[in-house]
Amino acid sequence: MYELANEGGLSDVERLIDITGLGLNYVRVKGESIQIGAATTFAEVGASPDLAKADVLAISETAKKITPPQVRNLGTVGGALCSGIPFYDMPTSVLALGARIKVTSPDGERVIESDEFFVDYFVTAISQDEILTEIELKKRPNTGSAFAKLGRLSADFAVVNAAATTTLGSNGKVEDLRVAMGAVASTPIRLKSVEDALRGKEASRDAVVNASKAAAEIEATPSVHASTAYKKKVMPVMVRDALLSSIERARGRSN
Amino acid sequence: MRIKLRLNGEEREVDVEAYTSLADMLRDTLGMTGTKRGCDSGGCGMCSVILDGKVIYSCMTPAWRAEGRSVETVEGLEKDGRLHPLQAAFVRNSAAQCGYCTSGILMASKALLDKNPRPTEGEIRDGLCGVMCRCTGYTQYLKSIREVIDGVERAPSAK
Repeated sequence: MYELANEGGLSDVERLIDITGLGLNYVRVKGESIQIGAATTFAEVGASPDLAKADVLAISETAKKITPPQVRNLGTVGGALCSGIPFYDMPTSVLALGARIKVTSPDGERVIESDEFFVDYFVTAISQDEILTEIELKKRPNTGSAFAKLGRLSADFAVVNAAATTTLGSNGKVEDLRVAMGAVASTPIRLKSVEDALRGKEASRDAVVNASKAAAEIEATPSVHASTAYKKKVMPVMVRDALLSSIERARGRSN
Repeated sequence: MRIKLRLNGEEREVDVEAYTSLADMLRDTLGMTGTKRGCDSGGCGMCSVILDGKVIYSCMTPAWRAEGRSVETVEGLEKDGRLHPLQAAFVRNSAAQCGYCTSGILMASKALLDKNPRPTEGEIRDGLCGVMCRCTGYTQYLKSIREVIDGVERAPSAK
């Protein structure tokens, strides 16, 4: 930003407003909802006991996996969402959790469902006069969520990432689930084919491995590090890992 | 605008522009060039300093964000002519080649040990992964940090 400013690259920016003083860094629980302020850093998210619960664990797991510490201490959940970058980690988990995203303008507040939030490369559903203020998660019984990432090194951006939220029924079968992937399209995406293949089925390893195969149907965007063909091979593996881990956590909670 | 901050334990007042980064304020306004600039975009870690106990990239932090807060830089490590244990260990182990990343590595290591005096090997590597050493001097850095954790202090060798 400073380089851009020094080179006159921000000359069309009339005002730059710092929103870090608005008190938007918090994690709080209100009844059945968990609210994360948009300016909450990844370090704060990772350290929050309110987010160390099986059903929402994908969020703090994602925050803790973000490296290096300099970024965990500066980077915020709201920033990760607003940037609209499809290979970031946090958007994938927010989408898999079906979070509600609150934005505020002079006209008041509105809620954008995570399914509607990500529009295109660098484009979100936020309007020019709005700011993101809060991410709201719902507490869900018998539910686990998890995040999995493949990078060349742990400190790299994802080659492919995946997140899953799974709710188990009283019969032990998969009652409902949400699966999302990042770094495969212009936004993080839901994998409804995988969800449909596992919904109502046994929460077994075989069933998960089988359902995860549908992830390979996505014609993933290639990058300099990974071709579409390579991504098609690793996508089912990332989805499998996220799903298995989410099921394990759902079971731990139902005990 | 004028900001007040605690810099290496001393109260300071500094005039900064809205677009001044903390790194530029330290280097250009205050002449404290121990903090280095590398990529200027949060990728290399040369500019790492400690803000209220947390290691951050000063190239990506507006100077005014230090208002009312505490900033530690490499210049503050030595106290009363005595090197910080990390600095002493770095010297002992020749843990520098070109030296450009040394202050960043020192501040990242200090932030890590201040918070967690007995980190695991994985935690040390995580603590350092935000500062790049292109001479690949990591082995001596890791050895030095391990020595500080274990309280190893060799007596200076006699001439």
